[in-house]
Amino acid sequence: MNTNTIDIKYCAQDLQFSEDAHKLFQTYEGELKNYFLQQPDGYEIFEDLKLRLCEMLQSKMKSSGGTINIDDIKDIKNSVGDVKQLEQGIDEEETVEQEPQVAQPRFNFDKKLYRNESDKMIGGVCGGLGNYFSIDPLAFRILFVLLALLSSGVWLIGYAILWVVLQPKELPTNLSKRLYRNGTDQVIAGVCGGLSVFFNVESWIVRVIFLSPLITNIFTSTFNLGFNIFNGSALGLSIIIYITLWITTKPSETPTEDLLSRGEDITINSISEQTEKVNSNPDTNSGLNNVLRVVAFVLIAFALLFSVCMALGLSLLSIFMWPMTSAILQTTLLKWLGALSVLFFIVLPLVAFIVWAIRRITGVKGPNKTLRTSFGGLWGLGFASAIVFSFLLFAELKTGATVNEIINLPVPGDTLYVNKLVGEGENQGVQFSGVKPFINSLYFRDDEEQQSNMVTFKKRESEDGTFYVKIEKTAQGSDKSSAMANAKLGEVKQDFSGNELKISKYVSLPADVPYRFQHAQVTFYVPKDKELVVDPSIKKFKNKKSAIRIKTDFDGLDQETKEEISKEVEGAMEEVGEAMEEIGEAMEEIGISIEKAGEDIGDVDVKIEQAEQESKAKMQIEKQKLRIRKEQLRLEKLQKELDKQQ
Amino acid sequence: MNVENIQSQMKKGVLEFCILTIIDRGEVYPADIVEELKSKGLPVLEGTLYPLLTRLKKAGYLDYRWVESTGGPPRKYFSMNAEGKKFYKVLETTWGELAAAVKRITK
Repeated sequence: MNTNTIDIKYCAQDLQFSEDAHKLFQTYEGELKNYFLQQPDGYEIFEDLKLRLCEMLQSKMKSSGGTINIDDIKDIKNSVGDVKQLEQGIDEEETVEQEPQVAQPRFNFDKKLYRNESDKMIGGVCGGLGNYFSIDPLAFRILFVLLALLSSGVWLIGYAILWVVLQPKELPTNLSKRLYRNGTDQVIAGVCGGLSVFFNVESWIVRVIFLSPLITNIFTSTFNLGFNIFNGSALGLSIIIYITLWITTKPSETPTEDLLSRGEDITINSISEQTEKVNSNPDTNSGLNNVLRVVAFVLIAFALLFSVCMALGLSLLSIFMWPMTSAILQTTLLKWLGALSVLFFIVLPLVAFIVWAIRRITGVKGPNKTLRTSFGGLWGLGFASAIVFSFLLFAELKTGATVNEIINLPVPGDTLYVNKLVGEGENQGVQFSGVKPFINSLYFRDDEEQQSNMVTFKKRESEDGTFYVKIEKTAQGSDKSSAMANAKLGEVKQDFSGNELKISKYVSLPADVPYRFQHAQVTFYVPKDKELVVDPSIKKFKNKKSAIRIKTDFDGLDQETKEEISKEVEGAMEEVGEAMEEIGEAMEEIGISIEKAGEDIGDVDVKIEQAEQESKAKMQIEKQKLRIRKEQLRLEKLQKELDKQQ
Repeated sequence: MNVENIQSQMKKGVLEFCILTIIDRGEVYPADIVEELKSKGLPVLEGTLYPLLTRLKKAGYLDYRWVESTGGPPRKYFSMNAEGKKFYKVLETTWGELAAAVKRITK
């Protein structure tokens, strides 16, 4: 009986062997390893078996009074099986010729470069390189992916050559810490989960940071804030990083791999702790974790606040604009769904929060299951109806169409006067709050008709020498034909007699049809040498300035000069107005071409063409500026003459 | 042709069927499978059982779950998935037919 004992840590915790028992066990384990690594999936089998061996050794140690003796090992060997027995039990499966495994030192200059059969994504080239240099193969994988991308695929040939040239071999792992994708904590592919394990940070923080460009993008685009720290390219970058890591890392499946990714020793204790941790939060209190935690909280709070404000704003608006809302949601189904969504999806969480706060303040302890289930259920109902509601509404409103209507105006003289229809805009609705008149000026509805203040006016030069007016009526619908039908329902009332056109500022609809955002663009076509005088009560007229300025008085002048000057000024102002309009259009054009240019990066021809357009537009602006300047000088001159005359 | 070889051949197919029968009853730890087979007179080496389980798992018939054990290493528990149930049904029929036939022949 050998009395010398050996204390070792085997894959596990501290075990005490007698000397001969340890020797026997080492030999036996080596044989098993060699035997299984020759089989397909042998690595996994051996890993599993090793854990079982640990378990058996542990219980043997207890039953043998603290030291594992040689009989214990023999027992284990009997239960698990001798390699010779196993060879007989299992049919001769395709066994690969294998050199005996020697425990490898951490770095060895005599080492040969192999393809690593036990750690491979494609051919094991990177795994082999990582093993050769004793670093994480991930470094080589990322490098290779980058090389492949940068060389537009040419590098793949290099990889193929290495694949062919290098010999395959099952190499033991010689790393202390490596990055895996997290198989137990994953949303898409476990990249964030893996990173969180690697850096010892909670996984939701990593996720929020990966999503942060998206969150901030939604903000900046909605509020059109001046800054743009996280723009589209940051989002692209985070997506590229994610995908690269997805391609280049393996999912961790066993607790052993989980531990490797943390760089911890693989012991029985650590493995069992690891399995405990799988379903609970990692114990993370590092400084990095706390800092990132704050950042992530701020981002989430931002996103939450934003969505709550949006939802509340929309629902408040739709309640205040009820006549219009009700006309849009013409079916009972849509109205119900809308009400359900607002009530349960938006208002309910606020109520729930208040209830929670009250319970918290009044010191009610413990979660109330009934409350929670009923709130959760109703909120789910609200969420579902909000989704159905949005879908139905979108389907109903998704297509827009325009219908044109041209009315010829045989004006006897040189001037067309445009005025509002008599009585329009008065007595609309009963005023019972400050909000009502304002809303009624935008949208109005009674038993006979509905009207929306969605008409804009424009002036253009007529090419055929006659006065006419074009009314472009636009509306939304579920498809092109329904949108056109909806547009036709709308009417811009007008009344032409003599040289005066009375026109409505509203699009009128029968009361019983759904409101589909009917709106209209009214364009007055005026021959070159003739005049258009628009009453200031017609708002939204694009040449508003000139229309109002006509009424400027010049006191103390004789009638003739007055008329002459006002005519001059009027003409000048009109030209300025036109010039302004043209500038506006040119700016729009530039905007569009810039946008297009942005879209078509890579297409150089298109870009050059657009650049030309752009510079043309710019030249146009410069010309317009010059023209304006000239007009200003002329005006100044006129003013001086006027002063002189006075 | 030696007798051990034929014995092991005979045992092998039956063993796989018996193991599947045990797993079919519910989630189980490999050591418990060994225990049960031994008590019923069909001893098996753990070194034989583990590769078999891994192969069945890789073939998509078995699922596994890590379960912590007090003071020891984690345990891999195996259970049968829908695919495995189908697979097992076929084997069950085959075994029924085979056993009946063998019984008739050896009578």
